[in-house]
Amino acid sequence: MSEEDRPGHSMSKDETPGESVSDGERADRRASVTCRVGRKRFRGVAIDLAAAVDSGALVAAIRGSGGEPVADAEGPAITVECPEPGPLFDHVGHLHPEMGLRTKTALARAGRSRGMETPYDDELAAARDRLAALGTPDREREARRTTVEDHEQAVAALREQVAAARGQLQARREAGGDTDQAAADLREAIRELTEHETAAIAARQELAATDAGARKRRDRHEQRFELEDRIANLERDARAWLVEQLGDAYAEALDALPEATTPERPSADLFAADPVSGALAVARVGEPAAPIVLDCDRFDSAAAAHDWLGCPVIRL
Amino acid sequence: MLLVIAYSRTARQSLRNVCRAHEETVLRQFGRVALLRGTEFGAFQALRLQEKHGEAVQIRRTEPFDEFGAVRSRVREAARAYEDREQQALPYTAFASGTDHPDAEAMKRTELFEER
Repeated sequence: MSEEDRPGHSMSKDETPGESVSDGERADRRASVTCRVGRKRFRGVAIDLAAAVDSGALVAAIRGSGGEPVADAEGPAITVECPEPGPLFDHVGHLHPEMGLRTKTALARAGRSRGMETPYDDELAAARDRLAALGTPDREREARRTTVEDHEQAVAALREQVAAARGQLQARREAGGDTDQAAADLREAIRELTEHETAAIAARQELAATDAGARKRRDRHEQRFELEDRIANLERDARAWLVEQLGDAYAEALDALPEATTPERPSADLFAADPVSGALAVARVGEPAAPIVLDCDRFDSAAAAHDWLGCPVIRL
Repeated sequence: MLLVIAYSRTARQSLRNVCRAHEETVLRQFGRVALLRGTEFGAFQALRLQEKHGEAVQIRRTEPFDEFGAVRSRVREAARAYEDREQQALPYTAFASGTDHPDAEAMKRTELFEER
């Protein structure tokens, strides 16, 4: 149910003291989203917006959620007040015909959105803690290497300068003119060159000293690397476990899609359903925190979509 | 040849990408390790990886192993003799004991000759 609010008109309270409110209405009110488009305000769990709103701007507004209004050059400024989107939103937050979907990953995220835990979670947390404890690799060696490089380049340039200054002095002598300035220039160029050559040598020694400790640092890299791989494997296992747990719910959701608007499934493989169908089913299985942007023709109204999905919907 | 070793997931992925993109420069690739041609282009790719990943990428230059130049003849002979031994289960220490073959601990402490 969406309401339009004219400027200057305040929203009336929707309940009077003593009036009983159903659980569904209470839940709806908690989940209720406020969406402002230009000077219009919409509020509720099932919002039908005019198609003139850019879906990209709307998605950005949901992600920005309560911050600066999102406006593109053509359209009105959009703000959305809603809970912050979770990882599931990346997969099923914006439903449109050209979308792609990594169905199993999305389904696993749906599981997480429901607060599901896996048998791998303890090990995952421990591995992540150990990785964090290892700290980030220090980039000191690179800094020292850059210093050497800088000095070497300065030395090369200054060598040319010294050669040029020598040439100048020689030319002055041959021309029989005053050589004082040219001699001073040459002395200065040589002085600078010597300074940088010394600095370059020192920098190379520091680099060599740093490199002596490289093996220990690589040992730490190796520990980090092993943990990273371990964590990636555990995450993969956890995802597979969640997909296994939710497979039936997902299948049921696919079957429950409105027959009239749902394309035929290409094969028996549940995960080969078209992306919009898959995403709808995943969203229904999950508990998306933020409203879903429906930019397709699967449902006649935001209310119908909301009833089917069980979460707030903004329909374009 | 340039031996390039990755020490992180991201470095490994970058190395794989480089190897896939420049097959003609890759002599061998084994997951997180690759042997690149010792050309400027090979060095260029290796250095790019080092720029991107710091010490999570290690670069070494390799040379063909000249066993005659780098290793004493006694060590070479010991290797041949040990592989040719009659008692398969005999560890090297026992095998070498009482012979002219070099002692394992001494060999561990001895560096190879430098390239000539």
